[in-house]
Amino acid sequence: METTCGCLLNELQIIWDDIGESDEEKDRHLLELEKECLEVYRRKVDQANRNRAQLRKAIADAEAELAIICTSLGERPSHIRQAEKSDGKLKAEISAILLQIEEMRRRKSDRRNDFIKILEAVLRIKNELYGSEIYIPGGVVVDESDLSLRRLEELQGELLVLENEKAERFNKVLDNLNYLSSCCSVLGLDYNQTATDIHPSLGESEQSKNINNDTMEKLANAIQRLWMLKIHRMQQLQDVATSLLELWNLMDTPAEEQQMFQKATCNIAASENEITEPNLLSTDFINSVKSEVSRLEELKICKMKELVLKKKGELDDLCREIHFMPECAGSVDLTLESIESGFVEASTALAQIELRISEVKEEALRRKEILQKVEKWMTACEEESWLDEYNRDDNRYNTGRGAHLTLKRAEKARALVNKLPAMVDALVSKTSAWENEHGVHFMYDGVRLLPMIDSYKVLRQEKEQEQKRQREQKRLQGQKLTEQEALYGSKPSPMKNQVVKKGSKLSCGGAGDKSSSLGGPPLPTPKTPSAKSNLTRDVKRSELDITGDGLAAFSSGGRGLDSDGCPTKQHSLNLQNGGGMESPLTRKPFSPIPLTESSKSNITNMLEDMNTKQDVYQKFITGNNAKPFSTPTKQTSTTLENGASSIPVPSTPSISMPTGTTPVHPYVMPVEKDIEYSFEERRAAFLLPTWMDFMQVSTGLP
Amino acid sequence: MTAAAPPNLGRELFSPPSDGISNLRFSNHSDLLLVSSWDKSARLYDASTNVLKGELIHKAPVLDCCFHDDSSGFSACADNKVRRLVFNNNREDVLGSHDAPVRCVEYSYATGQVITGSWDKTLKCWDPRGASGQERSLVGTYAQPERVYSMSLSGNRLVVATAGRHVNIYDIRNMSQPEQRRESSLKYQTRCVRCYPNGLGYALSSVEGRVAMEFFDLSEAGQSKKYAFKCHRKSESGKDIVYPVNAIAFHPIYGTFATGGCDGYVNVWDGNNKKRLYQYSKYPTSIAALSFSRDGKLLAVASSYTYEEGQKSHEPDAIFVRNVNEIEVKPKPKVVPNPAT
Repeated sequence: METTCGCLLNELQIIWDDIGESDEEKDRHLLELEKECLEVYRRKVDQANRNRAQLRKAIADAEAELAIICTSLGERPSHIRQAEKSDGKLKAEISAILLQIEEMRRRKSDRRNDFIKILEAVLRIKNELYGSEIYIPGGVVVDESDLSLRRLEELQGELLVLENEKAERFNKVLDNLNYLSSCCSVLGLDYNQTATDIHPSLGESEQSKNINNDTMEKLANAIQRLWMLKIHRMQQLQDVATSLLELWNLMDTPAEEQQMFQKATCNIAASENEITEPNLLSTDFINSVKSEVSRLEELKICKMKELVLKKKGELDDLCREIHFMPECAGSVDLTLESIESGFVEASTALAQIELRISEVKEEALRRKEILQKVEKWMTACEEESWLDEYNRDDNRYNTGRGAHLTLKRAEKARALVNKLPAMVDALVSKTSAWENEHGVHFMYDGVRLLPMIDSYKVLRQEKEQEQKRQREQKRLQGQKLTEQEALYGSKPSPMKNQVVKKGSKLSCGGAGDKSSSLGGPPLPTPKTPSAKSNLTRDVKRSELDITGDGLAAFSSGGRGLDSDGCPTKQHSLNLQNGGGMESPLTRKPFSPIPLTESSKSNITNMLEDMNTKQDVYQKFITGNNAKPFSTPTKQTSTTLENGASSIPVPSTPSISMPTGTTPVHPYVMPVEKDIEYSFEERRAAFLLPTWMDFMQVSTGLP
Repeated sequence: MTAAAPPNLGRELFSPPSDGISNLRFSNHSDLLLVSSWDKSARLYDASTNVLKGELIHKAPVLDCCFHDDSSGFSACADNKVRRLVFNNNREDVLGSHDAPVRCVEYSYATGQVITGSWDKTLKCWDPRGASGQERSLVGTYAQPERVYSMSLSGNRLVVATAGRHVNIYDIRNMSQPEQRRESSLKYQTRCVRCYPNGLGYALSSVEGRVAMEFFDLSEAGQSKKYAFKCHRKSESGKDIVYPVNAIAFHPIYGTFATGGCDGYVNVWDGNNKKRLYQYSKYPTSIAALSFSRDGKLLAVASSYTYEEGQKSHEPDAIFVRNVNEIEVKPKPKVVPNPAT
């Protein structure tokens, strides 16, 4: 450089010399040159200086940035020590720092990505858990100032917690859904529908379940609701089942009927969570159980009514037996009516009647002694009245069938009648004693007994007086007669003076008029012998008509007694005349069996006997037609070929006839066709074209 | 001939079905009478008071009906459906359907099941308690050799008569297969089958005026008791007219039974003594169905043309309820032949 500057200066000196510049000029030029040089130097120095300052500032900036990054990353800034160590060499320093910054920036962005990832995860889970209201569509915002590992760990912790919560919640949802499904199946609801109603995702596959707070709440609500419903239904079912069980117990319902509702009753004491059987609490099932209960209830009411009626009958019988007019008979009737109207429980009515029965039984016990006496008295009275009638009968000594019995009865009756006054007295004293003892009147069929006896006594006295009067009259009559006899010498028959009204009845069999004058219970009228004979006659008549219409095994039994009797008789006459005529009323299928034969052995319509008859019948036929009966019709010949040919039914050979004219109905000839149809099928084919098609398709008919 | 008084047919019920009567049945608990008809109705009458208590109209002819309890029953309908009918509130629930018209229906109080037989050659068992919908009600389907024509249930025994003269006997506790498979003893199409009330056998009637009395007991002694007899025939000047026997009904107390034929007669028989006990006066047209009330005091008679001669004009359909005298249904003691001395 020196050389070149010196060279140039020399060259300049030389040039100036050549030129011949003045020294002053030369000096001025040189000074100028020097100034210019200085200027150039100064500028360079300034520039360098500025450059250095810039560098320093850059370093400081970089350091600051580094420091920020380091602090944000939560690390100690390592480069500061380096800066202290390396004095001078700003460029190296800055490159080192820049390197470091680069490194730190990379680390920071990595860290930031980590944060973003975690935060996103957190946010996602939070969204899932807490619903969409905190969802930020722009993604996550990372707090740049704090990207430290500690913070990261914190966030990770948070994430973990959230994840756990999510898993927990997911399980909870699954649990709830399981419960929901069991509830639904028990209640007979559509699980999918219910779940979808809560949230559409719940009803779907396993994976994507919405688990946010809202859904959870809805789910919880739904479960709560179903639980309440289940409890409600359960109580309902248990109530119904309880009444069902009671009814079963009450009515001895057979096990088969119980079987259908066993599952309702076996859960009667189960707690809510024990009821898991599908549809057990469905409305259908509960309704079916309810309907069963109401059915049984109705049955029970029916039975109760029957029972009440029966008991009431029992009570009435009992009352009648002891001639006790229950003063509360009206109330029993009332209970019956009120049961029908549903006003009073049948059971209470039953209890009332039971109570009445026991009361009446007690009453019966108390009244027993007197009643026996009354009974004796009544029979004695009957005998007395019978005896009176008997005594009035002037034919009483006529001998006839049973006369000795009547005599014996009269003898006994007389003895009884003699004992009557004592009997009555005893009865009166007993009754008065009873009335004193019990403080109530002794009632007999609603009438007080004592006045009854009194009136009887009065009646008896009157009767005795009457008898006395009659005897007196008789005596007078006798006197008169003897006087008349003395005068005219003849004696009129006593018969003429007597009225023989009831004599015939009395003498005919002893079944007299038993109704006592005191209003005793009416007795069933005896069967009249005429009715009996009618009956036997009818039986005989009915035995006459025996069918010969291929009905060999059966005889007709009791035919209609009145309407059929006459024509039948006529009919038999016709037949005996030899004609096969028909009765227009009933029995057309008469065939010419010789009736004389059958009427003789009137009741023997048994098979064995029929055989003999059949012989006669066959003879008759052959005799009549003079044709062999070897060509029976298709139908009738079947008896012989039937699987049931062991049947002891004698097959009646039909009369031989040309098969062409056999008036067998056309529909009885399915043999000719391959496929048989019943009348119903033909009718259906007529009415329903579809069935016609079906028939043709399934049977291949044209 | 005296002028014949109008024959005693019993009390005719008011408002009868307007078309053929397919079946009628008395209740087991009361004198209510359930009637199914080709006029697509199922009707409930009170036979004692002669009151029509309810009527449910179906979409097609009703071929059979039976009681569930006094206010409800089941119907077998030609629209292939099996229904539960509730007369209290005029409701009907479809239990399910067959593939063809349903011919017979029975309700078993023992199992609580409804059994139906159809022309689709199956039996089906239903649980009427199941909620609506065939999947829940249908208990089982059991194939039959032919179209089901008649069915009768007594205790746990179910007798099913089909076309082709097949007879299947089931124990309803095990419907998987028949206890016995039989062929009808009669040569012609089966019309009606009914179990004896004592549960020992069944009576089966055919279109050819004949009834077979059968026993479940397969031993030789048991089978030796079976027999068949002819009935519902008319012999007119040497010609035999044979009528189908449409209906059999057993008396619940005496075990005697009534048969009804297309000749319009109802006969009462004593199966044990092999005697005819009674023949009622002729009804206007074929006897389509018969039923004794629970105590055997009433006999319901459906006098209704049974289409044996195809579409034709016929007497109006009517239901008669007659009081049954004991003498008409009580078995007469066997007459002991006089001891030959």
